[in-house]
This record gives sequence, structure tokens and C-alpha cells, in this order.
Amino acid sequence: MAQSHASDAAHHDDHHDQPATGIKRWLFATNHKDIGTMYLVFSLIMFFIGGAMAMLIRAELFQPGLQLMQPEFFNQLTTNHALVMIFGAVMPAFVGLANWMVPLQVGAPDMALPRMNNFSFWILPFAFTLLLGTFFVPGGAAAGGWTLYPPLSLQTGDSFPMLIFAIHMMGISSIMGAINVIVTIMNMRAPGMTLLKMPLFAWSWLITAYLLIAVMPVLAGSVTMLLTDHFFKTSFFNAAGGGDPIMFEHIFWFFGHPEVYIMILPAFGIISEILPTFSRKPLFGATSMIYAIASIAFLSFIVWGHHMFADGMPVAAQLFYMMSTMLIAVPTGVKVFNWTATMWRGSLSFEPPMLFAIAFLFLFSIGGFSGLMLAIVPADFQYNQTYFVVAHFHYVLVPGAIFGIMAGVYYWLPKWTGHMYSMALAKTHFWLSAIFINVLFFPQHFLGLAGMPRRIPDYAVQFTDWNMVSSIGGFAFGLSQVLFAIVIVQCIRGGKKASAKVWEGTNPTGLEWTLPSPAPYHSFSTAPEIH
Amino acid sequence: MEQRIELAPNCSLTTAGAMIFFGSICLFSLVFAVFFVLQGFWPVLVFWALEMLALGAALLASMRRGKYTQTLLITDSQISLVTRTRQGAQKQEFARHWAKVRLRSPPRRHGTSRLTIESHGRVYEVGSFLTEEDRTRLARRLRYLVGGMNESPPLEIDRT
Ligand code: HEM
Ligand SMILES: [Cu+2]
Repeated sequence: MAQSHASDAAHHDDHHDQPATGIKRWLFATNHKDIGTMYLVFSLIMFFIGGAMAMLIRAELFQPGLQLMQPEFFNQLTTNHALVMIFGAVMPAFVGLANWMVPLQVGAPDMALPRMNNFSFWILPFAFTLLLGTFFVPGGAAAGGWTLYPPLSLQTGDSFPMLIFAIHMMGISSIMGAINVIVTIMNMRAPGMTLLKMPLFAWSWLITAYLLIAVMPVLAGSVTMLLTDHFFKTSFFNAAGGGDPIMFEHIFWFFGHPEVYIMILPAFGIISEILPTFSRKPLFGATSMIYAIASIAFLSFIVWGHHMFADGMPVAAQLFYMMSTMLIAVPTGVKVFNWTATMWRGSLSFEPPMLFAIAFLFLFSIGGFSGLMLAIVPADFQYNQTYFVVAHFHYVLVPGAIFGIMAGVYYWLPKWTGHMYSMALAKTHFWLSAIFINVLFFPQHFLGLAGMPRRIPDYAVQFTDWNMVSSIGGFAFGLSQVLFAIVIVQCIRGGKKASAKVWEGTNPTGLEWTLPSPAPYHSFSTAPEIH
Repeated sequence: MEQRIELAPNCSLTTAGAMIFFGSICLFSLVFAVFFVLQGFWPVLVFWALEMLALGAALLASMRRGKYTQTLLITDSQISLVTRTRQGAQKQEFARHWAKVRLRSPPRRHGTSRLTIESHGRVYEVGSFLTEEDRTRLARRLRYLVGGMNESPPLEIDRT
């Protein structure tokens, strides 16, 4: 009952007085900071596991022909790389950041449901043990792509139910995380902290939580129907039984497109806090930023069809999805404009969080532009299922979501550990990442436009050169991430003491920075004296 | 002369607000669930219902927690601590002269500190639901008002 204040104040002598030590401290953690830390560490581990798969993929693609592995295994790698990165690395990182920062930002002592918080974290190690375990059962891991389209995904071997169960667990964990965030923000704000005063990271998470709550039942339903189609002879997606496999794609992308925004909106929030700090100016158009996030969230429910243009659909539907997708560029443009205007004539300084934020701004925009190209129906007929799509989503996910996370970690890490980290190492990590991410993914645009299909272990010889460049970029990018881990470990172990404000000469906004000096809001009051 | 301090956990939703919030989120996500049920994909509705149950339970738990409040009344001779929960109120009294305010620092960095009023072997916790900063400031104020054991500082106009 650590955070749930036992209803009888006299019965307080629970485990509080003997702090749990060792593994127990983490197993039974209910403190939002401990749980946030666990999420972040878990995410980093998954980032390296997913990264190792990516290294294998790039090694196989270094040359045409099959060098290292069988095609089946290659496809298992691409499928599970995506699942691990999306559900294991990006999502838990954002939930971890929310755990750490949302209570501090809204002035709450903890998350609203501390024990549910513990549970939602501890599901994850089981889910991913199960998922990674699928590599070792007969028939191997799922190999039909992270989108699990039937009937292909139904041909997965013995691991199929494990896969579905793992996805369910990840979904449950995400849902509980989202419920915790949304209840914390709605009900645990300090007196005086109105919604509109909330820092943008908390705002972006509030909207993200809405998206998660709206789409997770759809994901859970869709994978469950796959399971029943496989084992219980239902025909939701089975044409032979009167079902429709295309409907799976609709359901999946109805979840999937909001899901990709779930992975970018919190990053938007982080960037919106970092840019003003290191520009020493308030965020330009702060309220319009909130409206922009909300419009993007709304639009993300009506654009899913842009993943399915090549399936064939009525022209009216094509136009609808094309137009609605392009509409997203408007609020996204507002955000990019506001971020740029925030830096305009600011007195900029280039600490690691700022470097990552600026790289985010440039490189995420490249991903946005290639997204716009993909939204053009006739163009998509050519780009669909090529490396161009791979380039697009990696630009939005790596220098977008992941750089956003790294920017946030570099921004708040001193606040968490109490120490400064090595600026030199962090900047080296930044430059290597920012350079090699482009060496890795930019050539994939060319490969895609030239017609190289995605999800294949072998390719025609004319694609060799750019694949080699891409692989070299991949290895270098992968290796540079070791620096990230080193910086973090060093910073946990020690280092120069960080001040409460951490970033000297800046004026970060948000309650978290004013601590431990008196916070402007408080939840106790002294009634007027009665004589 | 007496001093009164009201302690309440953050509870930014009113009951009506919580109902509106819950209702709107149910409706919002129900629209999508129904859309898929109409296409024949009824399992989505099952998961929707489960999810709304979880959200409702979480919201209820959080709202209930907000009902846990404490009032401290400090007079020249007495300290009374009224703890109100959903089950009712409970009153503790201490002789101010003998009572002592104690703030146990967190067992570790990022842990939770505990603020107690102690006297004659009785220990009562106050402000367990406050943030660390609020609790520290409350401790400072209470120490000022209560004094150490065997102390009764004059209850003058608050200077903290
Ligand atoms: C301006 C904003 C964006 C637009 C216009 C856009 C448009 C598109 C389109 C049309 C496709 C389908 C391509 C095809 O399969 O032929 C696509 C794929 C994809 N997008 Fe985006 N997108 C945008 C932003 C994002 C963001 C922010 C993310 C994630 C953070 C993202 C992640 C993805 C992913 C993962 C895929 C590929 C899914 C797959 O087939 O495996 N996109 N995008
Ligand atoms: Cu999409």
C-alpha cells in the first residue's frame, strides 16, 4: 500500500520502514519513478535486441544472393524486428517517460493507480519472452510481416498461438499504461493546474492515451479473430467460409494508423519542451500546438485506407483516403512552423537534447514528405511494397520517435540520476547517429523508386550499390547506439552533480524543473484562524 | 488561538466531471466498436467492454482515494487529527506539549518520505498523499507549530 495511503493512518507500519531491497524493490515497485526506470531500461534492452535483428537483416542484404540465412529466417527477422521495436522499444519508452514525468508535471505525488502500474510493467518481460520464444518452436517465429495479414499469417507454425498471446499481453500492458496516464492527468492534477496550463508532454500523452483506448480493442479483436479462424474454424477472414481477408487489413490499419501516431505524438510533446528551453524563448503558439496534436489524432482515425490503395477500392474511397491523409500535413505543418518560429531569433545553445530535437525537426519532416508522396494514390501504386515505404516509416520512426525519446532522455536524465552525463560522449553519439541514420535510410528511397521490393532477402544486382551503402550506414548506426548505453550507465554511476534546474542559463518551463524549490501549487491549506 | 490545517489529495475531477469524462470516452470508443460489429466482427465489442470496465474501475479507485482527507487542529494544549475516509471519520488527539513531529526521509533516492505525529508510543501518519515537496513544507510548518517533545511554542500568527 505504499502509495495508496492506507485508509487507517495508524496502520502505517507496513513495508515502508524496511525498504525492500534487491530484486524485491523492483518486483514490488509502486513508485512511479522506479516503474518509469524499469520501463526505460526494458525499452533499451529491447532496442538492442530489435537492433541485433536489424543488423542481421542488413548483413544479409549487404550483397545480392543468400549469404547468411534461409529466406524463412530472414522473414522471421523482419517480422519480429518490427514487433520488438514497436511494442518493446518505442511504446515502453514513452510509457516510461510518462511515468517519470507526468506526475511531476501535473504536481501529483504518483501515478493514479500505482499497483496497476506495477502490473502493466511486469507483463512486458513475459510477453517478450514469449514472443522471442517463438523463434525456438517448430516452424519458427511468425514470418508474414508485423501486420499479420491472413491467410499468410495463418500459416505460421506452432508458434502462432504464442504470438497472438504475446500480442494480447503487449496490448493489455499498453492499455493499462494508457488508463493510468489518463486517470492521473484527469484526476490527480494539483490545485491550480488547469488542463491548459499543463506542459505539452503531458498534453501529448493525454491525447495519445485517448488514441490507445480507442484502438486497442480493435487490435485485440483482430488478433483474436485470427486465432479463432486458425483453431476454431471461424471464417472472419477466410474466403472459403464466406469471410474476407481484406477486412482484416481494414481492421488492422484502423488500429495501425492511430498506432503510428501513438508512437509520434509523445515525441512531439518532448520536442515542444526542449526547443523552447534551449532557444530561451517560450514555445511559439503553445495552444495551437495542442489543437494541432488533437487534429492529427482525430484525422488518424479516418486515413487508414492509405495503407490499402493497392488492394483496389472504389475511386471515391481512394480520393477520400488520399485527401484525408494529405490533410494531416496541415496540423503537422503548423507544428513544424511553430517549432521553427520558436527557434527563430532565439539564443540557441546546442546541448545533446537540443541537437536531437533539431535533428528530429529536419529528419521527421523528410519522413512526412515521403508520407505525402505515398498518399498520392497513383504514386502509391508504384511505391507500395517497395523500399520507399521502408524509407518513409523509418524516417518517421527513428529520427522521429526514437530521436524524440533520446532527446527526452538526454533532457531529463540529470534530473533522474542527479548527475550530469558526459556531454562529449553524448554529442559524439548524436553526430554518429544523425549522420549514419541518413546513410542507412536515405538510399532506401532510391532503391524503392527503382523498384526494389520490401521484405526480401535477395535482390536483383542493380540494387547492390545502394544496399551496400545502406548496410554500412546500418552497422555504423547500430554501433553508435552502444555509446548511448555507455552515457546512461556512466550517468547512473556518478558524475558531476546536477543542479535542480540542470540546464544552466536556460529557463525550462514545467513543475518538474522548479523542484525541489517550492512548487507553486499545493494541496494543503490553512483555514483562516478562528479565535 | 488555534491553527487549522486541511490536507486533501489532488482530486481534479468532480463526481459529475468523472461521469462525463467516463461517458464520453465510452461513447467515443463505442462508435468504433459498433462500426466493426456491424461488419460482423463482434469480438471487438467484447474487448471494448473489458477495456471500459478496466477504465471505469481505475477511475472509481482514483475517485475514492480522493475522499481520504485529514484535518489538523492545533490549540494551545491539544493537537487533534481527524482523518476522513469513505467509511467515516476518525479522530486522534495528542497533548501538544508531549507530541513530536517527525519526518522520516525516504529510504532511498526517489523513495517516499513519511510524516508522523508521535506521542506516548502512538504514531500517526499525516499527508501520506502529498507530494514530497508539499510534505516537506507541511513538516516544516508542523514542527514550528508543535515544537519538539516537551515544548509548546506560542501559537502566534503563522510565519512560514
Ligand atoms: C505526414 C504524415 C504521414 C503521411 C502522409 C504518411 C503516409 C503513409 C502512407 C500513405 C503509407 C502507406 C505506404 C504503402 O504501404 O504503400 C505509410 C506507411 C507507413 N507509415 Fe506513414 N505517413 C505519415 C506519418 C507517419 C508517422 C508519423 C509514422 C510513425 C511514427 C508513420 C509510420 C508508417 C509506417 C510504420 C508505415 C508502413 C506500415 C507497413 O506497411 O508496414 N507514418 N505512411
Ligand atoms: Cu498510415
